[in-house]
Amino acid sequence: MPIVGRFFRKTPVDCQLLIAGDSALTVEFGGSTDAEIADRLSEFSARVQSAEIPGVLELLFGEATVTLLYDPLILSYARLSRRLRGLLRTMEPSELSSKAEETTDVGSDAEASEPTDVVPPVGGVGPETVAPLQGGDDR
Amino acid sequence: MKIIHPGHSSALRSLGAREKRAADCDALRYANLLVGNPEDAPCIEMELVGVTVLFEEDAVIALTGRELSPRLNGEQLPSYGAIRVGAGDYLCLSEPPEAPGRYAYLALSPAPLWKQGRLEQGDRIELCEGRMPEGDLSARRMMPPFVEDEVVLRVIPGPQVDRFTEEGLNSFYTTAYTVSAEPDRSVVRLSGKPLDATDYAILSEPTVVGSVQVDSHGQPSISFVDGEIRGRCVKIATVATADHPLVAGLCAGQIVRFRPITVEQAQGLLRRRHAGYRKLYQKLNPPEPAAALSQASETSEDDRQDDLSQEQT
Repeated sequence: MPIVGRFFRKTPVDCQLLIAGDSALTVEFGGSTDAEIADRLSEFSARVQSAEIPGVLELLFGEATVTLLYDPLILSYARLSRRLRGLLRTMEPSELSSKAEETTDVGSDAEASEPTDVVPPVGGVGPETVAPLQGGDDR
Repeated sequence: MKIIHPGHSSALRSLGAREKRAADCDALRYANLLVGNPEDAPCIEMELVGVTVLFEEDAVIALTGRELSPRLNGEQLPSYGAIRVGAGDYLCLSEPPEAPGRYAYLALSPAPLWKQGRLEQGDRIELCEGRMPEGDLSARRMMPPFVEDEVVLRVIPGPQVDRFTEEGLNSFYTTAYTVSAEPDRSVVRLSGKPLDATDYAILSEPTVVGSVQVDSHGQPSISFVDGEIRGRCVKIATVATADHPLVAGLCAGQIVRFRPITVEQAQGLLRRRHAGYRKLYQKLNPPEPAAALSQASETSEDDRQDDLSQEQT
């Protein structure tokens, strides 16, 4: 299921979590570009960075999206989507309508409670898992 | 080590950061494990044509990936095995036969120091100060992965799968696509039945390694390690990380099919793949004096077969 979560808001934008493979997740704040969406992108990315979610490697920005690259050996998709859903709620809790709660589908509880294997690197220094969280263009 | 002939697009690559990242991370890991390096140590990546080098100090080497008929001082060497070399030895990888795959990896122990950019004639690669495997190296070998003519790539649908019609989605999973041009580290272009979508353009957004983008003519392409950072083409799916080595091995004219899996399945495949690396590492580096190293083989193909059978169940 590609669309993993959708928050319907009265204003200004809808917000969707989109699967972008097994090591990236895109948060889409709308289908157009405007200052309000740009503000939301900044606010959301600031919250993600402050949250220091283990396994999140990098944030990449689009015109109305922010894509999180993560290490699936440290952080499962279910766990990440759950954390992001929580962060999105804290952004504007009063504007999340009851419809949002009904239509949000971010994986079952079974998925969310799935154990996450932390796989140590083989033979010494860590592999891709050590990239810093920053706004560069690494994948 | 001195570069006598740099081959084609040869450079030091590792894991992780995009510009440094190997196209075929599996082959790089296997090369490093065979010579006893950490799995993410830099290796020389060669595209189609190999390098010729002069060793200026003793080292242990291993070659993985595309078969380049390696010759040490004129004598044929096996790939996928550790070899001891000494100062004054010439290693020639410059005679590519008709062989499957695209990228080959040369690992060295002690590991090379990082050097940015393409290798040029006359370049010198410094080796770290470190230990190399001692004693008999005959057990430090493995079977090369089996390469099939027709490649099936497992993909996770999304992020814009909702832009495609039912017919378009059906076509994507049933069409045999042909690699339409020589791929490179940026993109693999495919041709086949056009995919029907309601809209082919999106706002600019990041692409990731393995993104399957669809252009305005309905033709898909796979973004790879040096691909564009952002794009405006709609993306129908993303190739599972476990199958990135298969993308790296694609050549013009080859047939590619796509099979959908869930993100949970893809992450499970990746965990199993990494468990396979650990298994191989333990076989090659047992805590006790070497006794049972001869089984260090079949790992990659076994994993692939296990992956497939696990999916079927």
